[in-house]
Amino acid sequence: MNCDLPIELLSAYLDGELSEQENAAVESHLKECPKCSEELMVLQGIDGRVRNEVFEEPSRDFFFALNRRVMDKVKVTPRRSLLRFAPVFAPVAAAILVFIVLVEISPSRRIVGLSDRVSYQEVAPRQEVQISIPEPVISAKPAPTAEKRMAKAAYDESIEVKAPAADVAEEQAISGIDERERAARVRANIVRAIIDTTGTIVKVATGNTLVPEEDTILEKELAGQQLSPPTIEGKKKQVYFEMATTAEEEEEEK
Amino acid sequence: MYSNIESDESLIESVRTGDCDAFGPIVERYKLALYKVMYRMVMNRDDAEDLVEEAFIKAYRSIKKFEKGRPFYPWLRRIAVNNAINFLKRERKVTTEPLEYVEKTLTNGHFDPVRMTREKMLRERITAAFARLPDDARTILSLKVEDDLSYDEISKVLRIPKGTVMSRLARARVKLKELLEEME
Repeated sequence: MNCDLPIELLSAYLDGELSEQENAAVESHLKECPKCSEELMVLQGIDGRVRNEVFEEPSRDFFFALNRRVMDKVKVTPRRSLLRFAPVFAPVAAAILVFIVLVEISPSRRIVGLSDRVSYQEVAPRQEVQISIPEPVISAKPAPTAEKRMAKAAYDESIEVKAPAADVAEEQAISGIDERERAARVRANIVRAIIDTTGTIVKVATGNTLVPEEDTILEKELAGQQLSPPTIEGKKKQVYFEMATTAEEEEEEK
Repeated sequence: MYSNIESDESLIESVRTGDCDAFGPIVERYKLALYKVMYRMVMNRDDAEDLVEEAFIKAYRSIKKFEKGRPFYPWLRRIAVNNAINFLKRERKVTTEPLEYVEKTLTNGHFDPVRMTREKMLRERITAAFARLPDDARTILSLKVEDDLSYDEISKVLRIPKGTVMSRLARARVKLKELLEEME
């Protein structure tokens, strides 16, 4: 356009968006300006063409299936219910229930680990208690490893039971050896074992660290062996004990 | 079952109370009008159809936000237009196929121009020119020519000032006129 009428005004005039005053001014201009009149006609034509011609028929699927698709999707809106967790809860709950039942029906076969030592923590001053530990039956097959030899020696020859309630004074009197000296002579290989109330060896570990290392070979050989049930003060008890070979005993074995 | 003669207000009230079947007549009632706006915004049939479907689903899921007593279609259209604007920002893939098609058909030696009517050629040309407009120009022209919205209404739908509506609409018309002149 080569006149002063802004195109925004002409466009807004076309849309009927001008105030009365602006509208009158544009109409007055259009009467005098053929170019603006022509421009207005072109813009009107463009709107009509966009309305009537810029269009592509939707697909048949749109006409016939859109409603169903929308309804299918809105109907499966997830419900905010706790039941939505049922697929997860059900198996977990079932597993917990089975576990509880198994533990309850076989209390003597419950899983016993080295951590069970906590049940033997001292809660009272040490007392002298007589513990009866039956000798395990070791396989006649020669032990292929040094650990097994030592374990066998520990069982066969010199079992030293370190009861949690051993009376130090009496033990000194019996052995005639100072406890500190004796401890110093104990070699590294300490075998720790748990025997349950039925006399079954359920766990075996070796090592002299605070956390014994699992000895699968030794455990495989000893675990499950049936001994006469250990007793403490005449009552059947599950016991945890340590066995250690002394240097002297090892030398004898050699 | 709901009939198509039930008012929007009655159908929407049923939807609000949990009867999703009442939404069916709403879809039937407005799907074509929405499609026309969506098509002009994205210039692609498949995308436009998907956007219409998305708009209805979004509207259904936020039906509780719809204010009672107000007309339903402008609310639905606003959801659809905003969704399409986001789509255009995300995808930026307004097709130029109509333009390519016109150029190809006009220059292809095997094409018999006699068989193509003048009306059809003009139609292809305006479609191609419209597709070449910027996103915001196509959107504002779509709202104006299809639904004949006032500047106030366009301003609310697009969340832009009324003055911006006026200038953007004028620029869109001028640009479209220039594109058509280039293609003649």
